[in-house]
Amino acid sequence: MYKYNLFHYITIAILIAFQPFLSEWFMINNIKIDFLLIFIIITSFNKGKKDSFILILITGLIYGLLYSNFFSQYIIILLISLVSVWNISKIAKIESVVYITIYGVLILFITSFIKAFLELPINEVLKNITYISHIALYNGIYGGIIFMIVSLTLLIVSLFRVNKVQTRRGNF
Amino acid sequence: MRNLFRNRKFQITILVIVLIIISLISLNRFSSINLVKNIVSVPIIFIQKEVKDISDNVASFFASIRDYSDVIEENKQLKKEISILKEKSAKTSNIEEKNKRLRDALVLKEHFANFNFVSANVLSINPSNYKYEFTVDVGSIDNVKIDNPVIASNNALLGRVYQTDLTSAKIIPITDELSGVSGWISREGGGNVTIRGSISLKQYGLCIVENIPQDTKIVVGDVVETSGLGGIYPKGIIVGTIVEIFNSDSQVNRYAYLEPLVDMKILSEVYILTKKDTK
Repeated sequence: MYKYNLFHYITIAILIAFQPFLSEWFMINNIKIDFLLIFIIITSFNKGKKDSFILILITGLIYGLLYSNFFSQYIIILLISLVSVWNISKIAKIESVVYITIYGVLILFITSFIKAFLELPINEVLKNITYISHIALYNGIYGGIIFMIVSLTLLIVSLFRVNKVQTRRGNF
Repeated sequence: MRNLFRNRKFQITILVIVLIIISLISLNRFSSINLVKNIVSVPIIFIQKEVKDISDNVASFFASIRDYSDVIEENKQLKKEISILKEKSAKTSNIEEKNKRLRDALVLKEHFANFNFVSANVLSINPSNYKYEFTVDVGSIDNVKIDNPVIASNNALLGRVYQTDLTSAKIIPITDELSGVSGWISREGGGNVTIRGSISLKQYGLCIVENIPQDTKIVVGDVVETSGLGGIYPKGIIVGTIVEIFNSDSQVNRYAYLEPLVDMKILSEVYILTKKDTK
């Protein structure tokens, strides 16, 4: 099990503070990408459950204070994502590019739907279900691409490390 | 039973259930649990102001780099446009312009005689795909109350106050699905209409105009202002212009798309209209 380090905390703080601007700058096809959620999902892999749980509570709380209600719906989204990550971690590593991409698409697709149900009146959700599905689908696809890139990068880094170790052993 | 309470999984499950319940209670903007928010939100507002300044500077820096190549071309075109505009403006007499400005100001003052203008800076925009809320740096301490109308610096309607804290307030724009404005088509024989926000139109910055009377003439380009009905928005605030008119499937009802006069993407300062105390 790995622990969160200062890099994670600083990145999360930056993402919370700049989330409105980042999502606006990198908006594709009018879909705002939730970089904070993606980062938290990726960093929760192989981390202690207690650490992740506390981090998510604090993140969700601050996010709610800044952009939403006191106990924002975002905590629920983060918790659902965290439980999903715990389950994925049992069967796949973060470097498993295909697995992670598929799961990334699914998590973001489902959480996007849940977000709609939490943020909008139920009658509006049902009336605009096609539009919400459209947002959820694209959210999943864009997020999946980011998951794929991160996972691929980590795979390359790990392969590079293995090669380096083998070369050293060969030299000895 | 004692063992059950000592069980880690049981403890976490109970904690999660409690959090979800609190979270769902806090969804209600009138819930008293949201008062706790003030303890943290008051100092956070100051931090958020700084973050907003930094982010604005970063954004303008990158925008200037990105747009540099276009600037030269744009400059040429703008110079041409300026010369055309100069010709046009020369034709309009200064007295006429001054007269119009004064009349507008007088009308505005009459319309909002019962209101105080509270100036507010936009701190953040909710980064969700479904919500488009603004947080501003004035709150209940500045006499801002829920459902106070909000106008932009060009005196066009932006929306209303949705939630307030001590030092901040959340504003929902007229494009939001929770927003409904009673409007008046600003022309001779114009009628009352209802302007509503929609989830699918929000991304295009448009609203839908409903309940257009059968005998009312409406054309693209018509200006719509608030009618004063409904009790939230005072009469005479410009809302926007009609950009498209269409009929329902049964051809019985007419609908229209309205483009608000406020550009939501470049908002930095807004005015909240608070009612004057009449003693």
